[in-house]
Amino acid sequence: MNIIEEVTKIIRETFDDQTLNYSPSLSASDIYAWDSITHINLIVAIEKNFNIKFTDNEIFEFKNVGELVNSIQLKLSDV
Amino acid sequence: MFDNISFWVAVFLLYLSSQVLSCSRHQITLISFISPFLFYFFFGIKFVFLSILTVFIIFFLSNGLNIFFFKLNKKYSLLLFLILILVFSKNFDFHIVGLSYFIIRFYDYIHFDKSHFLEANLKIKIYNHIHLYSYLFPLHAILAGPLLQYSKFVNYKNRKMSFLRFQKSIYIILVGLIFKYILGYYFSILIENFINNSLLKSSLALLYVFFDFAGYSLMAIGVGFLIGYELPANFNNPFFSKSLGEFFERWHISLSLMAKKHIFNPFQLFLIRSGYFTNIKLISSLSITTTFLAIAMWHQLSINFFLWGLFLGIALSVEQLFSFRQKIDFYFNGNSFKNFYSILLFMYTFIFISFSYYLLADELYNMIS
Repeated sequence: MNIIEEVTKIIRETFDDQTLNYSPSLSASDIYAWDSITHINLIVAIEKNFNIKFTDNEIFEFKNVGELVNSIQLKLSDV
Repeated sequence: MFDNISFWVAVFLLYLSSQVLSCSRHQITLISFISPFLFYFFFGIKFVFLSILTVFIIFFLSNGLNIFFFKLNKKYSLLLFLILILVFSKNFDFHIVGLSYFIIRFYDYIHFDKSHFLEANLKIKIYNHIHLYSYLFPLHAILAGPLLQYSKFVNYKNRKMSFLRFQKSIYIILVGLIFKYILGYYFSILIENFINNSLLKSSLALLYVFFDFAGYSLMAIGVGFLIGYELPANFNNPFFSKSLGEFFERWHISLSLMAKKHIFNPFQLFLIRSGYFTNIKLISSLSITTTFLAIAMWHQLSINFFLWGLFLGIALSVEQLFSFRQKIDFYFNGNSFKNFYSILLFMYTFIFISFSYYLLADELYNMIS
């Protein structure tokens, strides 16, 4: 399973909405349930899934899902 | 400070210089060099000495600290210095003007992550430390002004001075003057002389604090526009809020953003990562209450402020538990003045906030008189 599929699955689980589809520009303004609390849940779920860790600054600077996926790719290639 | 003629003369001179320097980094450098002289007039030589010393010490600590076997990195050595400032100011006559705002700016500077920013802006270290004086002791916002985030301060862009910009800044300053010295004064007279009912008094005190503080902020923002050192907005029609949560996104915005960045987000992250709590609503309620208690203690270390923070924290947590804001936003769909119910919700917010001011009665009336 590639990164995008896994992220899509986590997003669907976190926001409890099976109709959501991945797009790089998908952001908090597009998803009704995406607020500061679900944002942290999403990040923690992704950290557990990929076994990586984001710094505090990184967590609150993702503007959309595309940036998140880029960051995950960077972290995975480092390891 | 705004009622002093020498301040306005300096602002006018800086405005003329901003025409030449077109609001670039050089303009900020100039402000850094001029402000100590002006501060000398207002707060005395002691303040100027302490503020310059502070920036010098930060310059030496920015490489970290070596004490015998201990090695502290930049962040922790600066944090240590901040704690020392707090302890000294508490126990000795160590007076930094606008200390509480200085602390927040300093903390934001410590937590600034260089890696995200333009290389060009960070190339010359000493140059940045001259700027740091302007950031920590801003000429126009030193007493209580809107809190600029360091990341925004570092990343500013050059702007052209135009007549339109001049007009805009004069307009903002005039509105600020009217707010602070006419409307604010009017409410202070009303509170002192004519009103006896304590609940009505606290709601008038809320209006007084709004006009006084919003007027001050507007003047600082207007002066910033004029001299080429922009500050963020501080108020956005706070009395047109449909919930308490919305109110604090419209009231003292720059402080709310700082509190969210440095208290709410890290604390919430800590709670989720610790794994002891699984209920999301509980986690956010705890984070909200902690944030409000911290803000209250930042205002003043007293039992009244503690109760005020606790009251607001719990009130906002209850709103959060029932997803009050989301329901209202969904119902109104972004249109504030949809119908009669919006006015009821404005009143609900106003009454709740003025009741919270009822808890602060002693502090407020001391401040007004």
